[in-house]
Amino acid sequence: MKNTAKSIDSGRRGFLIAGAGMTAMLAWPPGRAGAADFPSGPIEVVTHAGLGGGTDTTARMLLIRTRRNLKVDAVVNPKTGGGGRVAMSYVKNRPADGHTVMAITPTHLFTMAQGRAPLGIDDIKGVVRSTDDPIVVMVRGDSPLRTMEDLVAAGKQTPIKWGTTQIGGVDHVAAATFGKEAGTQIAVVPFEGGGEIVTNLMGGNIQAAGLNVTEAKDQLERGDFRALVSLTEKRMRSLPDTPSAGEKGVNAFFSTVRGIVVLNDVPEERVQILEAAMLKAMKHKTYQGYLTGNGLDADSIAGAEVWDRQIRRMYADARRALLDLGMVKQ
Amino acid sequence: MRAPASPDSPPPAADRRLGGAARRLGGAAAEGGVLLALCAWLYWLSTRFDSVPAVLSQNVPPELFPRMLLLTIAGLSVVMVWQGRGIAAAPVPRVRRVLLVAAAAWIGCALFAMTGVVILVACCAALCALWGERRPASLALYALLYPAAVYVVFVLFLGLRFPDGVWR
Amino acid sequence: MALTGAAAVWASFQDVQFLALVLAATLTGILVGALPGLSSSMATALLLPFTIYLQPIEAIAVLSALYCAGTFGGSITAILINAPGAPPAAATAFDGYPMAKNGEAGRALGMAAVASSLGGIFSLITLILAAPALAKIAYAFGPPEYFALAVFGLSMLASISGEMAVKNLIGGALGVLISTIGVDLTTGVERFTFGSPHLYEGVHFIPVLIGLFAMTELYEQAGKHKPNYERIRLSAMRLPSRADFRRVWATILRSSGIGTFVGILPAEGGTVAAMIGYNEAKRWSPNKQNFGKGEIEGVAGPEAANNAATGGAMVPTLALGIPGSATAAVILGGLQMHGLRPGPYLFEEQPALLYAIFAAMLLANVAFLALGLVGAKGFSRVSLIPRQFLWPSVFVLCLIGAYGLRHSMADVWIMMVAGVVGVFLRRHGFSPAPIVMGLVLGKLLENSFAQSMIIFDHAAAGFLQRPIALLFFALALCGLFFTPTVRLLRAIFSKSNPGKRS
Repeated sequence: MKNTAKSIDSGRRGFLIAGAGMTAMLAWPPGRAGAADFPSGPIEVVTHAGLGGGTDTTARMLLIRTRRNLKVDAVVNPKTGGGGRVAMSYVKNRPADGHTVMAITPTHLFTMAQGRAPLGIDDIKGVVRSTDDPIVVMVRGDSPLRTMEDLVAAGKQTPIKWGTTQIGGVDHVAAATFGKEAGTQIAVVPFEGGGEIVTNLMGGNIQAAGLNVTEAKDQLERGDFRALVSLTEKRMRSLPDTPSAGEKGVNAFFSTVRGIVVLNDVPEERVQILEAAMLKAMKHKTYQGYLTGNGLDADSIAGAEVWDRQIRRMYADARRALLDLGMVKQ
Repeated sequence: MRAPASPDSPPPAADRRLGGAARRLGGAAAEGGVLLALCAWLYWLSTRFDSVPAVLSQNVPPELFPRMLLLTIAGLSVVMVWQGRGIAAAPVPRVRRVLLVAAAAWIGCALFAMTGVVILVACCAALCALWGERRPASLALYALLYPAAVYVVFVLFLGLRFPDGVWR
Repeated sequence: MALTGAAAVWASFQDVQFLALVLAATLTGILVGALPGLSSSMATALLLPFTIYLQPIEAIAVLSALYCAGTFGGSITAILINAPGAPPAAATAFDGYPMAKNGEAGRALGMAAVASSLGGIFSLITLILAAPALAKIAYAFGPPEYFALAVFGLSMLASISGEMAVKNLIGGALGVLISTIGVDLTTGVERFTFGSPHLYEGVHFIPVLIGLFAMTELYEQAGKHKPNYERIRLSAMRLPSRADFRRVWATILRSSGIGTFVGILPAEGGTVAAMIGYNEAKRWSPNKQNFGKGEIEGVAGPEAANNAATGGAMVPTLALGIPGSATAAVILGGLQMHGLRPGPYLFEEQPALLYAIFAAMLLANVAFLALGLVGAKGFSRVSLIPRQFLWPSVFVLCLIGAYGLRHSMADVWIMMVAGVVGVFLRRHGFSPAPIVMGLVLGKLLENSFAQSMIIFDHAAAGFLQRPIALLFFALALCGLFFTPTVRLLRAIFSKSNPGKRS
């Protein structure tokens, strides 16, 4: 192979990084820290998903450069279970010193909105957003439903079979909210994951689905799927010909987002240190390459202000929709 | 397959406790009883599931599938007892070491959650001794080297994180 | 196309670093596979973050080779100590261990290696020649077809292992029952969770598997009164004799086909493939009554099938971006981590990557055969180390394996409970395999049924319009009732014509 030299070089770099990580782990300092010298110990990113999944991978990619920027080690600590509940109760019981951060997804916000989470939306604040992947309503390329209006009209006759992920999650609530706002009927068909939805939309077992562009980029490019409307306020840069829900006057905006939050009691200057280090890490070509490889672009990344506002709005939307659906536990 | 109990062989422990009726029902009766009790308890639990939100009420109800399974298991248990009638239960061997090993394993797991890797040394030593290792040198060597190797491979090399305990 | 492909595969073999990495991965895979409690999916998941330091092509090649070799490695422990080193080898233990007990460990291991290798190569050739076309089958499988497939899979429990069909069916139903723990997919209602968030997402099958197989075995071993040194000795792994080969070639071919097909089906991995492979080997064998007592076809059947499933599982993974098994899902994560998006376009845009994966898996399939022949004695040490060191070590590996899967103590407790339950079940004549089968297929069974009902507007008659589903239902009925029906007919026949006999 012609790039052997390069690969050996990168291999050696890898060993150096791994070596540095091990040294840092062995020389684990006690977690006491003054305000001035933050961070004084390793940063722990608490995730809610197992190894190798999207959340885990995104967190690991983010940490590659964050480690260097903060000059401390950073590790991913998966706390699986309960739709983020296990992760949240773990974080709740850690000191609010900024050394423990949590990688969240809409799952956490929806668990909070269902009133089942150990943390409330006011207990956390946003640090950075790492991916932003809006939900787009798609049908099969040869579907008679050519526009959003076709879909709405057809749904008024018989409910549209609409593929989602788990009940009470972001996909389900997006479908239900879209149905309500656009004035049509939707029969939700839940699947275990996005891949299954893609196959079943392709196989004609369902009529429509709310999918992320990353999940169906190839199918869109080849014309196997047609995007009818994106559940965003403005048109997406990656889908310039697809109308947005905002311009159609449908008040349903949902996105699969990932980002980092900390407990609300973490001092503001520490949040800023984390924000700066992580933003710098995500602008590096390692992370940008990861985004591009997944069909996302630099718009995914956002700082504390934008991200914090977004999670609060998403929480409020989720709460309202779940009340409408009768799915909020007392 | 178990051989039918011959009349002059001493009745197994389970039968002795349950008396003559159980002997006629056969060894499968106790198994069937446990399964039926389990089914009844789980069926009762399935009546206490949360209600389904109105929008999803047309879907297959969440208790339907477990209940069908429970009824299947209950039905098959009855068939099993019927098929096993007149066949005595095999004697259940009771060995003190199984209980000791189980106790060591459970205590080890409980302490693993609190103390991480340190407990593995104690666990290895205890289990190794229970299995009959009497040479203190090889016992100590094993109990120290093996957990150390596990630590190096999994924690240092593969990046596994042990539970957060008193000693992280 | 085929010629350039062959050339590309040949070119990868000439790259020294590539060869070294793949061989190292194969060796690691065999060892990891041979250690009970360590499955190839866990190993690939744990290694995944470290492959970021490699070139994308090398990283994926390493993971693929690990996958192939890990699937074979599991059979070593299954044969020598009756504890499958990895889930797909569970069926191998049914006959492999009895063979080893009969003093034929070398013959069983040799057959396992050859069958694995042939099964793997068969599926790779299929993958290389037909991947884009085969991937289209996935689209013909919707929820109704999956429901029928799951029913078919479970119907085979009536004959899968042990002698009591009723106990097997109860075991299977118990396994399916365990899979209903957690939140219900189509209604969002929590079931049997006792309010614990750790059970909310259900019970993962790996801790249950480790508990049922490894922990139960550990307790059983502890219960043996005198230190029992009839360990299975292994002089060397022997390639199958010509007579053996003549006996099993049909089984290997059949299992390779089954394994490739089952592997292609999304979410159906080597474990299910091996179970079906074993079952079909038994069904077609002239030596049916010898199964479970050390029949060589009972080793070749599951081993060819589970390694054929590795190639099969890569088809939907690469062609559709839909993982064909748990390990393939991890490899998919690896592709994404390296900025490569799997899908139909991968074949056009990244031919080098695809052929590197083919090359790595091909090499792994040949290498584990060679390494097995040279180093079987070394690998078999896993079962030859003294009991007082072996079983405490197995316990630690069970603990780490269950915990490491999701860094969850809850999984450790599930593993421990499964171990104790396993002891009771085993003492009462229930074998663990049906439970595991129920657990693997349970979610699929229920979810696909609930999804089908929504798709059919809540009218079960919709199943009648799905020919593939009907086919599998028919096969399931045959599997369930064939033996009893034949027996009944024979009974009626002999009763109504008493004069004709004698």
